[in-house]
Amino acid sequence: MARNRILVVDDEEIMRSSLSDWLKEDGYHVMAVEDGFKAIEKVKKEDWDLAVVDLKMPKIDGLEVLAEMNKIKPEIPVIIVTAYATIDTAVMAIKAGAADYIVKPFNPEEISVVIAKLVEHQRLIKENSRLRKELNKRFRFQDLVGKSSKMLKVIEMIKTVAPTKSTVLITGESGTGKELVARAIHELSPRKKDPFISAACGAIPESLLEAELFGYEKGAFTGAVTQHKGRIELADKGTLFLDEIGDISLKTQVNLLRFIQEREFRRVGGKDTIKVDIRIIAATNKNLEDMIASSEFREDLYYRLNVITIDVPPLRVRKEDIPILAEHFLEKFSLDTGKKMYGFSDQAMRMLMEYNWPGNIRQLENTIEHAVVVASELDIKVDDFPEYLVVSKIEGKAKASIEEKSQSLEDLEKKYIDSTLKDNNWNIRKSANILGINRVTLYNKIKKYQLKKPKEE
Amino acid sequence: MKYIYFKRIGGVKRRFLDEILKSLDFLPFRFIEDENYPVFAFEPKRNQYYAKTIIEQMVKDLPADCEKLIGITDIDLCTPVLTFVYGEAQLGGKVAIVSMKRLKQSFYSLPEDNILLGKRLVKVIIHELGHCYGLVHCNNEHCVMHLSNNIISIDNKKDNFCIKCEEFFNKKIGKELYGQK
Repeated sequence: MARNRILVVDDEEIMRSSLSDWLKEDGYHVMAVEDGFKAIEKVKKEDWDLAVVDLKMPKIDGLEVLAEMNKIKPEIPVIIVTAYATIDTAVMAIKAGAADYIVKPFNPEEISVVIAKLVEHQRLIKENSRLRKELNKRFRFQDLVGKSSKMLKVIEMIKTVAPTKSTVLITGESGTGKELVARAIHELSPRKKDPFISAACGAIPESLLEAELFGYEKGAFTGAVTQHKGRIELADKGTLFLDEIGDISLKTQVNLLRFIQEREFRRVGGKDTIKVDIRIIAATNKNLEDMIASSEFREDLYYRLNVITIDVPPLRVRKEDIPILAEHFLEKFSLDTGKKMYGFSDQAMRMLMEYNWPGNIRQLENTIEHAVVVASELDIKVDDFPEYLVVSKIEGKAKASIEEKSQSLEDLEKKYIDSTLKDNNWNIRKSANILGINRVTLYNKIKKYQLKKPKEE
Repeated sequence: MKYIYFKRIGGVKRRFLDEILKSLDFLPFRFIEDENYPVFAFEPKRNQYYAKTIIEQMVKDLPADCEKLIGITDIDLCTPVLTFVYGEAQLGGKVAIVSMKRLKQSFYSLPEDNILLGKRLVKVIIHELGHCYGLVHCNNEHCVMHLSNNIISIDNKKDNFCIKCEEFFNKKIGKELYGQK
């Protein structure tokens, strides 16, 4: 087993050697340096399980060394030692992030306990981090995290379609990770060395979308002072990801359809035809079939895009993925913020599991980021979550108690169908899928229970 | 032939040492007498003696046939960073020192018990000798190399090595004391 490494920082030689000798007898690998600058260098270059730093040193004092170490490697616990103990310095050291504060000379029993405790704490953190990485590796495919059967189906589908040239339509609610699916397809495709160009069609103003997609020639319109390559051209040999495809206008739909059919286009204001070799992946959170019915989306474009469909399930139907995703984001934000976090309290994890996650993975990610930032202890507690999560739990309980009083099976069925339809934005295909009935049956139930789609505001 | 030397420092009684060191007769050992107290290592502020300063002096006077030198004293030992030590050794080196001061029942305001004192002293001597042969503290709480920070933990451990430490120790003394390859 590798020996734990301790860095001793003291300007007095006799203190350095005395402490080092004692720690070596205890089986630690010890390095002793005489000033803070050398210590900081050692921390930058090597891994340490613990640092024991003297408070009063001439060049740079122990608290400054502690602050620097906390910036570089916050995971290393630092014990501040001093021969001149005052309550003020003890408070200052602990406030500055010291793991402990002890007075020289130490009672052997006291220092042994302090060091053993911190080294064990470090071992647990490392073990925790190793297990998390292991977990991430096991349940991670490209950037997609999950072990649920629904997510495994998505991953299987990605693996199947990635090597082909086929156009893919990714459907799913906002925040489910549609772009990650698109990137995974690109990364696993023979085009992975060529560009993956993304165009968020809903975010680009309609007036600019065509110029953004197809590019423009100099002088094509006011402000077109130079020639500009569009995203389609930039994606040549690679993959073009058209996000929020349901948001584009009928006019742009026509131009896009023409391009998909012929694989060539002209820049806005241009005369030359440009041929490109790209794979198109489109995504939407809208029900394109409904949009076709209401003449908002072209049927021919839909069939061009919908060669292969991958439906990314919302988080509420794959709740078994929540713990892995939560751990994944905890690890990410622990690294980003430099805060050492162990995990979640049982109650906090239960709350994550019970919540409905209308904003899906994006909302979960934001929730964990919020919790990591506000957490004051080593694990995430219920109080660290944003208020909406806590409020929702209380409301959920109230709702459940009313529902418990439902009188008949028919009442329950009506309520369940109604809530499923609402949860899925009255998408008949999806709701029928979730309810486990076919669309005709669902239409019949809607009629029977006189359920009505709420009018959009 | 090389010997383990025991150096009587200060007021330790020779007869007492002869008696308790019988349990170590599997080792070839000899005695050096020094009834002077190491005043050069005295720290008046703490009313204690720095163990390492005494060790540094002992290293200067090693007999030619000395394999290891263990000082045995009745003074209270400390180090600059620790409030007290039962003993101190050069890890993998030649010299160690042990103190009887805190091994005596009288230190804890209890009636003197020489048999118990002898048992404790043997444990501390073997422990420091183990350090001189490169052994570090052992996690086995019954092993003589287990770290002892208080008198209870000394009483709780045995006066011999665990299997792992014994194997290491035997290999070392075989090589260094008896010249085995």
